[in-house]
Amino acid sequence: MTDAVGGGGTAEDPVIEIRDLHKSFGPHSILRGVDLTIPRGEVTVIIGRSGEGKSVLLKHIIGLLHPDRGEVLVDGVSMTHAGPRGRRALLRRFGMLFQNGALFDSMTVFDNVAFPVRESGRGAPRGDALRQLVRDKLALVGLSGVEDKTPAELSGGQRKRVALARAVALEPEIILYDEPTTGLDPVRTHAVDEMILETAKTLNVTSVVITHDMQAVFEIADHVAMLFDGKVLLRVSPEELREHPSDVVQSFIHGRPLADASAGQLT
Amino acid sequence: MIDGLLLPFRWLGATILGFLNGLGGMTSLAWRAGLAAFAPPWRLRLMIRQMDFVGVGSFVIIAITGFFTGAVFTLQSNLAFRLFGAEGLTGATVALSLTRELSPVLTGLMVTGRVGSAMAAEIGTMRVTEQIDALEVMAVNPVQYLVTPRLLAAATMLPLLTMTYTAVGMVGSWLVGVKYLGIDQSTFWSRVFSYVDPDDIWNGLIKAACFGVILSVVGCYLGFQTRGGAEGVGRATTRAVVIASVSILISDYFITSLLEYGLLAK
Repeated sequence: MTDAVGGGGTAEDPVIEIRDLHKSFGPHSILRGVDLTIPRGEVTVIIGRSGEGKSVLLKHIIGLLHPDRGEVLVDGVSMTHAGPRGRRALLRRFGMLFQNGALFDSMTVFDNVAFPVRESGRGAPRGDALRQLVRDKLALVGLSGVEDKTPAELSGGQRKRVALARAVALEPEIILYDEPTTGLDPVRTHAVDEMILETAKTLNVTSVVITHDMQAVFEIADHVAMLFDGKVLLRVSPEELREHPSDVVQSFIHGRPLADASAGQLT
Repeated sequence: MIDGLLLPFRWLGATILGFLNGLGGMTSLAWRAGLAAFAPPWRLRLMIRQMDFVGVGSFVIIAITGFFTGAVFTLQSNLAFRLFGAEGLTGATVALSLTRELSPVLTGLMVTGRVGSAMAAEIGTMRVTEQIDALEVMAVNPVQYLVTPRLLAAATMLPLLTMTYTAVGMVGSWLVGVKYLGIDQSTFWSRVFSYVDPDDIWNGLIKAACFGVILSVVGCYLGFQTRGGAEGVGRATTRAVVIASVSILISDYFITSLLEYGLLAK
């Protein structure tokens, strides 16, 4: 694990700033004023109960959803108010690993990993260079010889790996992980966590990970943010989280039901 | 009490709003997909794949249904014409009905069943498995990538399939009329050629292209709107077939009246 910087007062270099984000779907208000900064080059893990809006938050960061209020800044540039061209430029800097991989099932593994490269426009590598690039990316996630298979022929863990290879194909600066270990057995879960750390280190990227898995939090996080009641309840280091006095935090870490449901305050 | 009385109005309002909302969404999707056809990147390979799926893939069922439509229509109209000794007109009647009405409409319905449903299912699956989000994240316009090729393929292939339908239908008609019912061969064909205008053929083909636009836009739109996993995909598929079929039959009336009677004529 990289040395954890305290979430609070240390001077940091934010790459993503989320400001006062609000989002409702019909009568359900999901995000109610999320403020969060994501420091450059480190792993930030976002935790929270199911339905708390973690995926919704992630989709706002990458501009798949538009907030009712507030905005997301990437190095000071608004993702929320970017025009098509500006958005395209911002998206270049991102890679995203979707919950179940979201591989294109009409394509082979090779075409999936090559897809973002081919779509990146003129000057993109072709032919042998592209083949080598795909092989390298697959090697990075520990796969080889699967290029001609279709996603349906892969196991769940392999699919996640291919999806990660696709996410890093254009060497993004920021990678978002939407529940990367959900549905995997403990051994694979550990392997995926390792893979996230490895990717963060070798490619020197900023990582934002959403997870339910507390094990992962203590294994990979530099910072932990907890969503509760549509807001960021706290942002601390994993060590601080473990020792945190709040009932909400302790009940979440230890998987105990919260005694008093209204206890949203930090006490 | 008051709530109970308001219920039918609420239902009516919701239905009308839902209808207008869907119509607006589809129109906007068709517009965006059409515009995207004129902007790079050109997705030629995707379009050819769709043309193959829509056109080549539907060829056999279109030929079979066309053949039997021509054959049975010949049997029926021959019965009627025999009453006043005008069997010679059978071929021309069948040819006119096919070119103007039956071929485009039945081709539209057959292709809706085969292709419109597949479009809704495929795009719907991509929606619920986040593949469409993945496209967007990779800075690819999903409308241009998924809808434009399907729209163009359907709009170009439907007229070709309609021609096939008519041609094979006339073979069926000839076999039944001339070979089986004994209508004189030269009368059969001379009547066909003297009664069928190029305009009749054109009108049928224009209709077919419109039906291609309708079935692809409805299929793609419902695919994009899909929510709720496998069940949602199933629902989207069924609705795509129902809505596209009904829209084809309704729009058929209006396109015909527009083509035959002009915009304002009575």
